Amino acid sequence: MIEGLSKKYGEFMAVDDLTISVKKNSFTGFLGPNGAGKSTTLKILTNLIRATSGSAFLNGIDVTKNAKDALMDVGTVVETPEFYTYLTPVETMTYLGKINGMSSESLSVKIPEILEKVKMTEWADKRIGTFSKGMRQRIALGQSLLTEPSVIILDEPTSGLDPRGMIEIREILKQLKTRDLTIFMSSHMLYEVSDLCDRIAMINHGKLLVHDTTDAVMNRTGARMVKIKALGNISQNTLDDIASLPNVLNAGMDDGNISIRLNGGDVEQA
Amino acid sequence: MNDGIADDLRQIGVVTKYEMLKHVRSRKMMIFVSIAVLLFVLITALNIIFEGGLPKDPTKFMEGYVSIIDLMLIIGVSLFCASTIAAEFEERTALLMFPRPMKRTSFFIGKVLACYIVCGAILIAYYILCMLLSILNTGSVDTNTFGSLGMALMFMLGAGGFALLMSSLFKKGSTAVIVTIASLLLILQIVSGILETFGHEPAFSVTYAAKDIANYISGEVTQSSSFPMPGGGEFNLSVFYPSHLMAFSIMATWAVITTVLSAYLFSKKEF
Repeated sequence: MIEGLSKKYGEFMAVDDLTISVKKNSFTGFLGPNGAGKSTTLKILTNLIRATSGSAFLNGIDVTKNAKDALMDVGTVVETPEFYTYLTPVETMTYLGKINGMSSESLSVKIPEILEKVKMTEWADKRIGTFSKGMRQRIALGQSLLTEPSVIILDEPTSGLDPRGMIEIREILKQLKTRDLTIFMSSHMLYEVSDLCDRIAMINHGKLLVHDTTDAVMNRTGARMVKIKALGNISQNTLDDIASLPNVLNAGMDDGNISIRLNGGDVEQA
Repeated sequence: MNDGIADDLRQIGVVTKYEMLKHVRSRKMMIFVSIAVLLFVLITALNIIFEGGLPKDPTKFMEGYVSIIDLMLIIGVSLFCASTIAAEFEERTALLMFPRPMKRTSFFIGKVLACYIVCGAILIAYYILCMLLSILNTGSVDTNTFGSLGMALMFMLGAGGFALLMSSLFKKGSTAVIVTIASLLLILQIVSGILETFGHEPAFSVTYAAKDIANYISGEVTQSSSFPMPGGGEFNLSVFYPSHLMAFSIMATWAVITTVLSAYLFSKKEF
């Protein structure tokens, strides 16, 4: 639950009086273009920066006032975190788990499970300094699940990964949907959010635009836009032909791109 | 004990343990140990080459080995303390650690303790090695060596606090290391030297207080001499040595002020 949250950098309002209530056990996508205020919001939620005003509750505890207790039952992956290069995945997870108060016995059971889930078992005892970005992101996702939290906050978890890495991370995230977890994930990719999330909160210029189920948001916006870069001149006749196709609202030129607006549901638009 | 405080202490212990593990495996650990070994070998070799052997007097023996401990410690705190805070932001590990259910101050204390334990352990090992060699060579150890070790540990806290402050101030660990070394090794020494030349005791300087590490054994006191100037008048030259109490006070003041300031800046720092 975020209530009237604001973050100001000088005169720039990165987050502007934002209020969102995330449903328990939902997978909510926090969607918006780059610079919309997504990461700033998530950084406030994860105690990386302080809010200028407002409150952000995690499991009923205001993180802006009592971050330690608020984050007790929360797993996080913010951007692409780096790890201590001299430690192995097992040592890193033991370190993080012990900070959370996990016992050595439970860690010795849980860590192999997590490494198996994120497909990093064979790298368990190698120092993280040698890992690729995709491997580090899998470890990052793994550590967020270590304490079996009820809330997981993910900030663009597939950002910067190659297509294969993106698919692997999304597969792991899809598996999480089957568990009793509240996941709040930021992304600027509509496809990713609509594929993974059952709810979407859209934000731009630090303000919430819409927050509803994924289907409702898709239907409310009514149309999706496809832009195709045109290498040559496109005649008006061609645009009219495109516009006459089923489920195409209109077609036009936009800064050298053919801009096509679609309507209908997923099936019709496909 | 309050559950909250007990949990904070437990978390400090966890952070200290893993930070120490990081330090022990790091390249800077190898560098610092190499410097300590080099210093020991160099002083031994110079004594043998230029003095025809190691001194047979325990006081003279230890004087040589602790003469540039302050330099070794400046390098030590620059390696361990000056980058420890900045690196969390520069290397983005703060993104992993700050969202933990842990107070920033607990994280800070754990990191600082790890730096001091690792740095202090090497310092103590160096003193033990020197004392063992003293026993082998002279048959005893100057008891003031323990006082010298105490002062060296205090200097580590004073200079280490300054290094931590630089680490909290600068975004890059390398900048913090360079500024720490430049300040402690050059700027403070130059300012102290100028003040001493003009007859003023540089009682503000932690590096001036560090003179007591060697002086605890050699027992020098402040001396003033006057020299006649050509054409009349006198030139007064004073060589200052801080008393044990003064040296301790300067180092303790530096340690407290700089460490508290560093902790404050760290707790307010945003990613």
